[in-house]
Amino acid sequence: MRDTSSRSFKVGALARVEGEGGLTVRTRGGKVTDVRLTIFEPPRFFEGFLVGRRYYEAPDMTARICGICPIAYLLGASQAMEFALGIELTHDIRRLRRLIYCGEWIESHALHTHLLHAPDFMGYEDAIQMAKDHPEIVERGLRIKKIGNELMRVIGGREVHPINLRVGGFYSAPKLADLLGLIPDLEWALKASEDVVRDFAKLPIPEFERPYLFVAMRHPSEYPMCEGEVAASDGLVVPVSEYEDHYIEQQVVHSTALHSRRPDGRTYHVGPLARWALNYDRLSPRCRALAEEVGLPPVVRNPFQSILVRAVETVYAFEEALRLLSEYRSPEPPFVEAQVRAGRGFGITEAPRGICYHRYDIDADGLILAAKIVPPTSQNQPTIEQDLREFVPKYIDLPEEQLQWQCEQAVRNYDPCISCSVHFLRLRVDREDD
Amino acid sequence: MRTTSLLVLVGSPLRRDDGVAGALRAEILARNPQQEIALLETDASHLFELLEGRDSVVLVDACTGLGIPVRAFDVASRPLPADLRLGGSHQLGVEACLELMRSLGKLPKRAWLVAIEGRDFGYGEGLSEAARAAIPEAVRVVSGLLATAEALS
Repeated sequence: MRDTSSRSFKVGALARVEGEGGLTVRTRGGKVTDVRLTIFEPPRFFEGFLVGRRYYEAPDMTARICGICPIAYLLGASQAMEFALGIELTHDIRRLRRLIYCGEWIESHALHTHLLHAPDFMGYEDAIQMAKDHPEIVERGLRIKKIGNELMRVIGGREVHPINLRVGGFYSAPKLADLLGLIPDLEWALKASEDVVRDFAKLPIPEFERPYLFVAMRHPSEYPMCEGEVAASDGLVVPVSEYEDHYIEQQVVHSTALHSRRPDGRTYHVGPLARWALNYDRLSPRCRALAEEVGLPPVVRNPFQSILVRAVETVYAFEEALRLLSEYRSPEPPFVEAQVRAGRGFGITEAPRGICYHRYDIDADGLILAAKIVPPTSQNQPTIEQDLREFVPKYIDLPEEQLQWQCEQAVRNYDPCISCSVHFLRLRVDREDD
Repeated sequence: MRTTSLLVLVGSPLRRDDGVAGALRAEILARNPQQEIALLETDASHLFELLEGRDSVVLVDACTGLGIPVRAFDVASRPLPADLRLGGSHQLGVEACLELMRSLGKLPKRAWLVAIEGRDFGYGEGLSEAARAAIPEAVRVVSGLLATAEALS
């Protein structure tokens, strides 16, 4: 048996996450003595250079934080400005926003589940190696991803950094013929994504559970995307405007990224598992039946099952997109005009990786006085560290390479968008030997 | 009439020399206003959609480890050299996307990557003197490849 009384080891770069960063794990006597995400954080610069800019510039500027989830930033910043300016969106604009968000969820989830996370479970170094043996899996994922991108392109004007969204709505409404032209692909993808769930349900999932404090949006009738209050699994439900009263950011010595916690110090978990746990009853009957078929319970506490939850959420996004298209009415006018005034505004949406918070102060001329953005990966960072603290001792007897692999996989459970919250991730595990 | 070849300019203008490819756009369009150009600032996985079904593509990206200001690589024929590091922080980068497309047999028949040596990949706008000085040569190389692609189409 391996002597685990006091050891050290190191591994190289953590791959298949968006962006770069560093992780160090130290163990002694079979126990984890230290877990540190060592990271740098550019979004704070965004908050700095937003000050002095016009209110309507914030959505497009913050969308540059991330190439994977620009809609999350476009909508979060727009919502916050609309809050500050007292803009009430029309029903048709709100529906169109939800429709484009379906596209982003599909694109992001398909990318992560097929190209970044599936190779972990199937024993491949990366998607390139996996594609050599299983090209059909990769091609199906890429086709699903492309359909999500196409939805974003038709509504947002282009798939990379959409340009048609603005404070108050959209610059122009998409052509009905273009939207309806998406339906055959969406119908194919709805069925294909159900097959993905059934296929991924056969993957070997490591045994590991934690009693997470889940935090997600909660809407009176919908699975949350753009609207709702901030709910938690301990029963706390607060309006978006009170988010900062209950979720605080703290500096930590080893990282320039801020860590989010409850004021009492508790870490929390945002993202698919949190949405799932707090909104299972808001999923469609089709998705709930699929979840039941593959053995996914209403509350999933094993983060390695996040690949399955994302896969079901992808099904939901296709189903929801088709529903929204069937009821589609072109928003006329496509945006609500703003009457500029001084104020403070808040916005939260459910980015694919979890809630993304925006708060802005603007003056009477519409100039931004202060900005605060809390992306989902920042909120999950302490939870990722806590996962590793509990995961490593359970698997300390694994061969070195396999343990390192599973540590990386545990980080990838969160689909961390380091580009959003950090900018350099390398994984290092030290087991201190005597 | 639009060109049959696609020019993809990769890199973020907010990361100094990583944005050098985008700085070629105006020069290329001045030479051929019909040239189809895609700007890819971050998520390289969009290459899957951009390149799918294309016969000819020229990608331009900043890099380190080149040793000379500008060099073109025939990526349709062989992978990029292992010691070449393209700009960008995303792990599913341009190299990985190209190799994944190669695995699936989906790389365009003619695909070149023009690498431009960068010095400063820090935060903010603006190019280093070295990257700026490489632009005329890069424009010449890219224009030549695009002309070749059009002639072969």
